[in-house]
Amino acid sequence: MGLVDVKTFRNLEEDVISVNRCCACGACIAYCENQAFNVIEMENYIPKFKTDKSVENCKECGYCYYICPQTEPLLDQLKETHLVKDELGNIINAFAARTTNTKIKEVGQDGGIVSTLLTYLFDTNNIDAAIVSEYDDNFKPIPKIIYSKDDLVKSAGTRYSISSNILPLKDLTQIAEDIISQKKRIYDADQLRIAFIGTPCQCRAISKMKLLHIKPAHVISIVIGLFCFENFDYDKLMDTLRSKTQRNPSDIKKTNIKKNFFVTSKDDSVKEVNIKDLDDAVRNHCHECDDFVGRFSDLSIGASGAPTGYSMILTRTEKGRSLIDSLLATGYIERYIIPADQISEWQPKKINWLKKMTSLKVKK
Amino acid sequence: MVINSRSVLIIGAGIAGIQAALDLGDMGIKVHLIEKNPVIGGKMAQLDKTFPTLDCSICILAPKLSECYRHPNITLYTLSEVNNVEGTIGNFTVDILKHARYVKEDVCTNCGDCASVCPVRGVPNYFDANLKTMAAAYIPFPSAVPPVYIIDKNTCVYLNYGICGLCAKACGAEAIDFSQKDEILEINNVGCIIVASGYGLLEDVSPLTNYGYGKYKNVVTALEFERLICASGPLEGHLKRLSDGRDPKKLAFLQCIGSRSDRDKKYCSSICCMYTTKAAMISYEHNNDLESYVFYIDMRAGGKGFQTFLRRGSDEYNIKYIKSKISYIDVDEDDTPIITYEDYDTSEIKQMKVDLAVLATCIIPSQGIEKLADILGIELNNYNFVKTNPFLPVETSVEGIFTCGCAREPMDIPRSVAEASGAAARAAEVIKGG
Repeated sequence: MGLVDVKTFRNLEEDVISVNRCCACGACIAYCENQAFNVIEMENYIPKFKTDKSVENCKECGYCYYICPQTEPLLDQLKETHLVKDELGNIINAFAARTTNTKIKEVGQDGGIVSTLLTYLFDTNNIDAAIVSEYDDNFKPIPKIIYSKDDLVKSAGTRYSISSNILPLKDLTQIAEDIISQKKRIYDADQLRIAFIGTPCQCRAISKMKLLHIKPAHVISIVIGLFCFENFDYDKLMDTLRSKTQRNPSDIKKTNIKKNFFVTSKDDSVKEVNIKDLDDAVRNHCHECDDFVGRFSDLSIGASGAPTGYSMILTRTEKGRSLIDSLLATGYIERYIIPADQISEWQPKKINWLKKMTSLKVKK
Repeated sequence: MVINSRSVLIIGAGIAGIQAALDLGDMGIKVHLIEKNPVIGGKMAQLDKTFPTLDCSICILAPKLSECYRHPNITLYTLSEVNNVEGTIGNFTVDILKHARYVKEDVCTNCGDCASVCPVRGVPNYFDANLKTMAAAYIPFPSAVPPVYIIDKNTCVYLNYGICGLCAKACGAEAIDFSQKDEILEINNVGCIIVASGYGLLEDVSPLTNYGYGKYKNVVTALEFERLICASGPLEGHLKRLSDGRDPKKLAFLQCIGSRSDRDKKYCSSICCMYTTKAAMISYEHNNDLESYVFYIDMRAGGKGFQTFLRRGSDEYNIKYIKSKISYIDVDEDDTPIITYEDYDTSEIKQMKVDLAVLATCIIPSQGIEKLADILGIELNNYNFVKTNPFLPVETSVEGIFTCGCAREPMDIPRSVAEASGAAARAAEVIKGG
């Protein structure tokens, strides 16, 4: 068997992790741990060999290197299957919309589309679980698997530091057991349907795994990409915010970016931080990323380009399109009505805006 | 042994092909048994029970499967199809296209280590009527014959991307062989050929949209139902509604789906009246609270003990037969099928809500029969079943090529077996006495 050229975790360390290109999505570990190979783990957002001895356990199958969103392999095939021809990827529909759900309106960011979409998928029994992220007590985003829409409220709103959303899939066997014990419909762990919500890099990893049809990503039934301009290192971000706003991480209620960085405390006071002051906290891998809109997803969602209170939605696959159509048809979300005098130029303008944002991201 | 040097080639290793092979093998005649699937047994292996005795299907079949596998006079060619045939009766030359299995048949120990380490998921299992999926290294069912795993070349990551190889590393017997290629095998000196290529089902070629199949989870085909009530099937024999996992209380069996219709297949599918009654009986045995409704045009029970079987169904198994014509199926908000039908007894249009609707879909000629007929030079009838003469039921239009079982018309297992023995006898006549 000619497997001499297969790249392994050692190559991943060399080509990606040691040169700060790792985006901490957790795909490599989710795969390897799900296979129970007992080789690698995540430590403070860095994948590494568990012990010196675990190097010997490596099966040298090469998946960790192949599915890493920061490596070259499979990207060409991925572009082909996702019909990606330019920086925005395949777009079936592009429009702005917002939730009609008053509860989500209160807690959600901008249009509240992602929370509403998951509510719909749970309501219509189209998913068994979703991978989202939540804040812990120190305002640190942590990935979380939710099993019902009641758990959604905590996960609404945007995160500005990394949450390794693929990582929880390493425990898919346990997750499947939990779900099957609750739901009689499922008779086979491979029938689970989990919605994935993540940054463009995370979606890229999931899509690579789905291209190979490998577990644990085979249970992901829909991939929702979030617009992402850049992401911050948690520790550095908190240090900067602490020095600029005198707020401890545990006091923060919400953060958002509108030109500058705004920090809302639990006492509802708002502090503004100059976005330039945060440049040093930007994660290194974001500097060379050219995917602002999440090209490798079923649909992508973000505030950029949308009127205040709305989110932009780009549908990319038939699955994504029909899902959004059902949301509109059932009144879960409402479309932004383009003023009559702007109808013809509205969409091209928004597309151009997203292209501009992408090029700004690349330049940075 | 000049007299036995001529062998018989049998196309299709379902119950008919297997019976013919065993008969001939036992007579001391060499048999080449060709099967396009990775394992033998055909449709019968997928069935839960057989009518009218309610015997366990695989229990009757399994000994025949292993006998076939071990028989010194039978050579098995799985994943194989006939590519070319030349010559005439007494001396055919046959080219077999044998697809790569990527597992050495003589080395694999059927331990399953390859399947447990394979990370690929979502390969549909045809044996479970695609209700279950598998890894790229798989065996369709545990007691399959030959007891050899197979690697799905469409999804195997090593074959498509050159990485992985986990199964090869895990295989203690070193049975994985990625260098295997599809190959053409030439078989000379074939005295005669038996076509036992079996049947397909209407759902293979028709979306059955009238009946909401594919759209509504609680509308299943008869073969799917067979897998669902089978103890070795995806539900391990515990019948559930596929939409919500609830235990069904009321079943509907819809007869003549796509058969006896001017708009679809004009012929009678022959076995459905009986297997429907069987399926309803077994369901009742699983759960005595169950009621079954059979929507039929005529009940056709022309076989030994068949009429008594139907009577037992209504007397002892809570089966109600409704002479009717189905209009369509839709569902309520709970995914529960609602059947709209004309009751022939009262000529009224009625509706009935049931937990699960089972479609008795029509038997159709097997996929690829046209190509095979072309290669063999045999004639098909206007429904594409192998054409035979009523008084010579196992003979095709070509001398030296025989047929049996559902390749020539829809029939049940006992008849397929009888015809297989008939075809074997005719073939033996050519080899031994010809």
